[in-house]
Formats: sequence, C-alpha cells, structure tokens
Amino acid sequence: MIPSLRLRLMLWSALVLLGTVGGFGWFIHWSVARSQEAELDAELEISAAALDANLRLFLSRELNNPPPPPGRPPAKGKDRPPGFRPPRPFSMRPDVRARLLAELKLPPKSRISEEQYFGVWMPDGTLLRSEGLPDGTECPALSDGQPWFEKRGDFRELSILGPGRTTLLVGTPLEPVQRRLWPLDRNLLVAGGSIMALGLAGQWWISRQIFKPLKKIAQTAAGLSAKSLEGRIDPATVDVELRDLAQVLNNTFARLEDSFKRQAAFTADASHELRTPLAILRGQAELALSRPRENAEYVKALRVCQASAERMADLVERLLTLARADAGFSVLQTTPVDMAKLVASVVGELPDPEAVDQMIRPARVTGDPVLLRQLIQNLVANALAHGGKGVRVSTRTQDGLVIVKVRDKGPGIAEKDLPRIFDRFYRVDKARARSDSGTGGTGLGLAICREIAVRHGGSITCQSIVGQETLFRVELPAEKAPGEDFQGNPQ
Amino acid sequence: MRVLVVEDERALRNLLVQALREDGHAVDWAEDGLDGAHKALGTAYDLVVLDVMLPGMDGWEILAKLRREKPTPVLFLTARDTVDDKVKGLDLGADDYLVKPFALTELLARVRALGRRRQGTGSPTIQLGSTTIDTNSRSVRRGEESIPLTAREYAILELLASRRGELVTKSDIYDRVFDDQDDSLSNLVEVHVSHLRKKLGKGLIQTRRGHGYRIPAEGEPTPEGDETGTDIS
Repeated sequence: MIPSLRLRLMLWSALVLLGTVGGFGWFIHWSVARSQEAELDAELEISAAALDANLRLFLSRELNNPPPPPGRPPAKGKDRPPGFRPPRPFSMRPDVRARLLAELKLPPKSRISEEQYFGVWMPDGTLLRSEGLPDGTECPALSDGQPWFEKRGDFRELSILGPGRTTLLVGTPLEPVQRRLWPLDRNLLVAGGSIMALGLAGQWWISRQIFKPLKKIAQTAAGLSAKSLEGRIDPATVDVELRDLAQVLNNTFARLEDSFKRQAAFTADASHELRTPLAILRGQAELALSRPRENAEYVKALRVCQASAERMADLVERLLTLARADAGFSVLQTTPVDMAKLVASVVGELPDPEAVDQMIRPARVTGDPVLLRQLIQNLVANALAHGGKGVRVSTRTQDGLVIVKVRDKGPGIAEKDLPRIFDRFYRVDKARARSDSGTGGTGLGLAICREIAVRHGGSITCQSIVGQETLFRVELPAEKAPGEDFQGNPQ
Repeated sequence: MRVLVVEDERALRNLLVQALREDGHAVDWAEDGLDGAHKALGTAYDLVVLDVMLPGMDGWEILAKLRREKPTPVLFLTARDTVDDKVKGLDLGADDYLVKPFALTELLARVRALGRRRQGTGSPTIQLGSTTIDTNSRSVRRGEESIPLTAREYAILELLASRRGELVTKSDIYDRVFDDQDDSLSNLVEVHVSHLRKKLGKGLIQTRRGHGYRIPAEGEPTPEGDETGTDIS
C-alpha cells in the first residue's frame, strides 16, 4: 500500500494512460500492418493473375490432352497401378516447350513484395515450373477451387487453380512488410512515450491543484485551533466537493468550542462558588475581630462563619464526587440494591415524610448503595426545594429496566433551561440560589445525579410543563436473573 | 463617603455593608444587577463596590452602562482571578479590582484610597491650621490633643475639609454622609455641625445662610464675626 494519496493517484493515471496510449498505438500498428498485408495480397493476386494468363497461353497452344475427369485423384510416382496409361500432358517440341516455359514468369518487380517466388503444378502434382520456391514446398490442395491466402512461416502465399486444373502458388517473404513497419513502431513508441510523460506531468499538476484546497482547509483548521476555536471554515469559499469535509470540521470545532467553554465556565463557576464562602468566612472573622464587640455580635458572626464553612464543605464534597465520577468511580462498589427500599428509607429520613407520596414496587438493581442513595436524595431534595408540593416518587421494573420517577407539582422548568439543568453549576434561578445561601443548593446536585445514573449504565431525563409539573425519570439496568447474578460480595 | 455595594450573596453583602459603615461610610446596597444598575445611575455615589457574577445583569454590563453616564469610581469584587478578567474589568473603566477572598482591611484601604483620589489629594492626612485629620485612622487631633468625634461628625468634617474653600450644600452633605437607611430626623446636619464647632472651636466651619457650610481655604482671613453660633438660618 502506497501511503501517499497523490502517488497512488499518479500510479492509477499512469496505468490508465498506458492503457489508452498503448491501445491506440497498437491499433495504429495493427491497421497499418493490415493495410500493408492487403497491399501485399493484392500484389500477389496480380502476380498470380499474370502467371495464370501466361499459363493459359501456354496451355492453349501446347496442351492437347483434355484435362482428367474431375474427382480423379492425382496419381503420381511409381505406385500408379499397372496398365494405367497416364495422359500425355504436353506433346510439344522440346525447344518450344522450353521457350514457353521460360516465358512463364513473374511480372516485373512489385512495390512491396520484392522477392516473390512461384510454383506451377500440373494436375497430377508434378511441378511444371518454379522460381525461388522455398525447399519442401508441396503442391497446395485447393479442394473448393477458391483462391487461398496463407501465412506459412515467414512467408505469405496465394494459391489458385490455374487453367487445366493446374495449381499456381505465388509467395513472398513477410520480412519487407515487417521492415517497413519498424519506423512506424519506433515513431509510435516515441510519440506514445511523450504523450505519457506529458499526461503524467499534467496529472502531477492537476493533483497539486486538487490538494490545494485541502491544504487550505488544513491551514485554516490549524490556525483555528492554535488561536481560538471561534473561527470557522467558510463553506462558501470551499469547493462543492469539499463542503462536507468543511461541515464536518466545523461541527467538530463547534463541539470542541462548546466543551472548552463548558470547561471554562465550570472552572469560573467552581472558583466563584468556592471563593465566595471563603470570602465570607475571612471577612466575617476579620470584621468581628476589628474591634471589641458585644457577645451577641460574636455569636452572629460565628454563625455566619459556620454556615459558610458548611456550605464549602458541602461543595467540596460534591466536587469530589464529581471528580471521582470523572475518574470513573474506580472504586464503584456493586451489590444488589432494591431501589424501592432505598426510596422508602430516604423519604423516612426526611423532616416531613408525609410531604412525599410513594408508589414503590420492588426494583432491584446492581450498584453502589451509597451513590444510588445520593441519587434519590438529590432528586427528592430537588423536588422539595423547587416544587414543594405534590412530590411523588415511584419505582418499578419493566423490560429489564428499573424506572424511578420523581414528580413535583412545582413551577416547572422553562424549555430553554431543560437541556442545561444537568450541567455543573447550572441554576435555573440564579438570584434565588445565591441570596438564600444554602436552600438554592450548590448547582451540582443534578450533575451528580446524572453521573451516578450514567456510571450505573443508566440514564436520567427531565420533562417539565411550566406551571404544572416536573418529572425526573431515571432508568437503570435491572438486576440480572439469579442464575447470572453479579459476583459481588453481599453483605 | 457614600458607597453602593452590589453583591448577591447575602452574607457577604451584610458583612461588607457593616464593615464599610463601621469605617465611616454611608452605605447603600443592592442584591441583584438590575437594582444595582438602577441605584448606581440614580444616585451620586463616591464609590460602587461591584460583584461581577450577579443575577439579572452582570457587573460588566452595569459598569459599561454606568460609564456611559457617570465617572463614579468602581471597585470590582470578584472570584474571577485571571489576568484577562482583570484587564477586561479595568479596560471597561473599573478603578480597582479585588479578588475574592480578600482581606477586609485591604478592601477598606482601597476604598479610602479611591476616595482620596476622587478628592484630588494623595495624602491620607489633611491639615487645617492646628487641626490634623487622619483619614486612615479616621481620627482628629488638635496639636497633640486627640479629639473624639462620632462617625457622622467625622464624615461631615472630612467632607468639608476635602473640599476646603468650596461651599458644600446641605443636600450635598445629606447625599454623601447619610445612606438610605438613616433616619433623616435624627441626622440633622445642623446638629452635627454644632457639635463639631463645640469640639473644634467656632472658627473652623463657616455658615453661609440658606446655602451650606465651608471651611476657609488656607491663608484666608477668618473674621471672628462670622463664626457666631447662629448657624441655623
């Protein structure tokens, strides 16, 4: 596998070019060779016709015997049956015969076939006359009497039936034809090679043009990530074919930017949330100590300090929970847990258990009881803090899933806030969250709920109708059947 | 000085207000951005202590809005500690920037420094003849003798001294020295001024009847006749 796309592209185009140029060259070579051969054949035909004409003259004068009846096989040599009297083919004066035979020859030199040869056979197969006939050439058998072109070795030959059932053969070596094709082939090779080189050079240039916009996109992307993630590749400046790529990159940048922004927002929020109670703690202590005060003032100051310290402790605890969640709850304890019992226990510990309506059916999962308890606690506390009334918790098992629902009939959550309520430090009502320190929570409760649900292989969703009700729905994988029970350490 | 504290965190706001009041400032407060912007634009404060992360309208917005209309000094108080945040705040027109958690004494010192800068005097002490006002310790001495003043009396004296030679109207004094929560009946300026005269001598503060009060500029003759106790016009 060649690692360079451009090189691969070059290789493929070289193959395609070779195919087309080579094919074209071969076609030219073939058609020229064909036309040469046709010309050669024509010359052979002319020669044959001339011989035929000469032979006719010769025979009309000198052949007095009628031709043997058709179908009779030509007998020759000594193995003819006894008593058979062969026809006397020629009864002519030997000197006339020799003169006539000498006249029986090829026409003057032809254009292509420089070295023609010929042979004339009598019907009985005896060679009447030949010139330059290659050794071992036999009388061709022309069964149907049609002229017959044949390539025999390095020769091209034409056989025809002459007058008086004689057989004529005219031939010529093919070498001159091949010799004439040589310069053409050389030119074709040179031209083809040049075309190939030109084509490849053009391809090299084209491939550079093709990769230019890609390079540009890469540069834009590099510039983006180095400086800030706010910029985008403008799809209008990108070629149509690359718009998908630009779009994909833009989407990736958007997601990256979003996650960076969330990270930055989280850091800013965390520092704000931690520093504010710290500022209160420090300032309050300083203020109390700045001058002698009444006991009641000290008590008040210490109460503020205590509340701040508690708030910080809570926040730190939750941040640590989230940090552990980010690390994957590496020490996740898994034991069988019945969510129904957990809900009952959490509600039972509330200051006012009557405020929460329970519709619990056994719902067994495998998980960390401490974390799952925190999940329920957070959701119930959230419902009580924001809804207050009509809080109902239900648990059930359905299709291998344990479903825990926490509903409240509170003011609800606006649609624009819904996608973000599970974000860390996100608060729907910021003013309320801050001014009454404590009751607004840390803004981490739902984030923790989501982490716990996700780490247990489940999910948490929220639906809300403003002014009517809010419903949190947690889905967790139900505990497996006893046969495939989790190999935990039941307490 | 009259100071506005805009901070949404109740406990922090309470302690800031108390600390600033104990340091002798008249303090108003706002608990969200909208109220803060409204008050900062509507009243002539000497200083606004502004949190950045506020519900309703954040500190940046309030500052930008305020700067379009007023040069009121602004001290940013925030948990954002990156250089970018500080530069952004100062470039928007903040006069100082303090990162939470801060030392209360540092905050009070910065508030005093901003006050001095506003009054055009870099020095923390003001000399009025033989009377010396130390704005850091908020104490007044005459020669070697320390003179005890109430917070209100001191605030009025400092205001008059910082604008020495100028006429300071009664409404000015009300605006600068008393905050929204002061009961106007118990804080009659005249009462405080007469107390000051008793403690510091009659020649120091002059009355311009129907207008206000002034402390004469240095070298200006102080005719005995004008310093009668008939300051109530």
